[in-house]
Amino acid sequence: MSEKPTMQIDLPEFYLQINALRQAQGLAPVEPAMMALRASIRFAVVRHRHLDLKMDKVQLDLDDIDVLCEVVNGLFNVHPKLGALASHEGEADTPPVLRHPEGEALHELPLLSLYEAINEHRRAKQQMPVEEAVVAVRMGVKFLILRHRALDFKGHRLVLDQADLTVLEQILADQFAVTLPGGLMPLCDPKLPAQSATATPTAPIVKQGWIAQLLHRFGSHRVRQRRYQLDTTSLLLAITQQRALKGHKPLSPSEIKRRCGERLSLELNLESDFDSSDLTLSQEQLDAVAAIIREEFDVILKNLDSLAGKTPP
Amino acid sequence: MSQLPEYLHGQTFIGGLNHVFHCNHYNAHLQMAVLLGEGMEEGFDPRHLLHDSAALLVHLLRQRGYSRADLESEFTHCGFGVLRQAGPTRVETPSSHYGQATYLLGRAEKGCFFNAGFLEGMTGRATVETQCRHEGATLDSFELGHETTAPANPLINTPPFTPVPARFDFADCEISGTPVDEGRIISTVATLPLYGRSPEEGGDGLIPAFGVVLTNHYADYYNLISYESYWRMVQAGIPADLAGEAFEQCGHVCAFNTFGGIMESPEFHGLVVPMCQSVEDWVHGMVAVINALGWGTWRVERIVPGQELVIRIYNSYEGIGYRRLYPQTGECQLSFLAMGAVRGLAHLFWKVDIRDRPTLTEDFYFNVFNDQKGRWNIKQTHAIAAGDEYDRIVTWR
Repeated sequence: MSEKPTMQIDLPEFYLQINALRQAQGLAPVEPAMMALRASIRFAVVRHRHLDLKMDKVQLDLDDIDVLCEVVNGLFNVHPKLGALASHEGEADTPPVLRHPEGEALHELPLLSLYEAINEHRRAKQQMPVEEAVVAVRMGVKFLILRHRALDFKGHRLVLDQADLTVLEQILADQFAVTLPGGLMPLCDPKLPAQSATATPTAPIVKQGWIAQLLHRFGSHRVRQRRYQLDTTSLLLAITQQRALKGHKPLSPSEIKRRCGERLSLELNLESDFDSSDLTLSQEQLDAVAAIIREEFDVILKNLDSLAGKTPP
Repeated sequence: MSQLPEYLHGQTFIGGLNHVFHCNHYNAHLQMAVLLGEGMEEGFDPRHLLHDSAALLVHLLRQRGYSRADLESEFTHCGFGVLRQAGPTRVETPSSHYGQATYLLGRAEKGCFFNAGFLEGMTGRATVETQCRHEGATLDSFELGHETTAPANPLINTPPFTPVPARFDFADCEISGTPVDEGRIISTVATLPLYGRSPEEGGDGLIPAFGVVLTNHYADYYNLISYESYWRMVQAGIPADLAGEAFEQCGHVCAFNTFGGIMESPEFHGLVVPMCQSVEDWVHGMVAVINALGWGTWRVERIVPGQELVIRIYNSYEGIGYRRLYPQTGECQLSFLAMGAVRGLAHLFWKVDIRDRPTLTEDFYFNVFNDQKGRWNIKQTHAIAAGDEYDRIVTWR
């Protein structure tokens, strides 16, 4: 019988990923030492074998990886990527699974764009549209089954690698009879470059995706952010025009300002006097504003960026 | 049809099996939810579950003395369509609820699993659908194969029916009364021709009503396919709330189409609306209609218009059905249809206003009814599945 393939797991990176996943779900981070201790205990209970998860690296076969993923899921309520990657890579001496290979990019997929594209495609084929909640639940369930990893389809955007995109494209075809020209890539924001411990940020400014947030949080890097100056007057006008085009009851400018102000204050801790000032926002905040506008006023401003000038770096 | 319905405990029994009215939208979405589980477990194919659950229920009816003619007649009477022997080993459905009235949002594939299972139970022969309208065929066709062995009866536990209190006569009920006459509504609904007629009677075995196509389906079929799928999903690592939501959404779709269609119908406006003086009365009116569908007995515990709605369901078909199949559980969030339907009911009154009789189009459903803004929350606080006396569903803004 041949030796089972094994993979080397970089444990500090593993715990970083767990906390990033928890943060994405709005959960508090857990200190790595506690994760190591509890995961070691649970692994020993389930697998009847001691595994020291306080070290820097550990070599595991695929069965151990599956069990470790289950243990982590049970303890910390996240689904790490080990299992999905283990299904593709089965040889010894495989590079550490949590380091993205040099050159592999991540893609940010705005979910609003995805839902719009699905239903534009379906309407063009004379098929009934599908409500977002149904898309979110079904894609979430199928992605979990196929990739052994949870994605939050109810958020604003997803960060995905190419394999994830391929699986999502298959799910779209199977569940909703949607095959988008060019796949999902045209909907994605420009690629995030791979990040490694030694990379030095260079001009021009990169978008602050989840990797940069993670690195920033742990102090390894300072990544310069693109900032946007949102013209609130243009925003009010755009909302009013879009509502009129959709046949909605008109809202007074003061009502729009009040509702925007309340939501921005509540959700983004932004205080804005819509009468006078522009809003200075990061990319993430701009995306959140687009989602708030959609929820609050039932309009989709596809090119919110066009209402925002860019501030100098 | 040779077997007459019996009305007991708020449920409807035909041949000893509980029947519930549900629409084509619910049937379509429930089937899609079950099919989500493909690939989650080695050796499990949700298509077999959809097929085999029908086969074993029909086999039970045969064991209880149903003849083939009885079963064909029941298939038509319950709105599934018409069965026609087209050859020694081939059966067709010239009209079919699953083939014609349900739909798939995803890739086209054969979708008449229930019909194939029904045929297998009826004939005792392995049955495969060979042609399906969902794939563009003009009618659905099934091939009968080798003889099958009798499946085990999964309804192994005694159903825990409980006495149902009078309408507003139970502890914590905050409703003092309503002019809505539930008894009159239920007895009137019972006179409606909600059954499929055979070709000999000039029918096609389908039940179009209130803008939807109904079936008087087997509650145990729904429970088997829902709970077997749900528990497998949870065991496969899918979060319980995500798995449950896939099934709860089916109830929400049903509420919009069926409840919405009912409340906009001439029948409802002729009989119920004149009894109503407030939006609360409309709630009581629709609950009275629900109590004629065989879902159990719904009781309104509390209404705060625009804020909260609390419904109890005594002898709910989901709760009782769960306990017939499985041991009592510790989990409460299991009456998926009820949760989706109660949330949908609240949305019909306080997210849109069904009293204004908006046109229930796809666009309205998609853009307004399902807009995430204004979505009500939902929680099941009590569950017959968990040993409680009733299911209790709370929805709030």
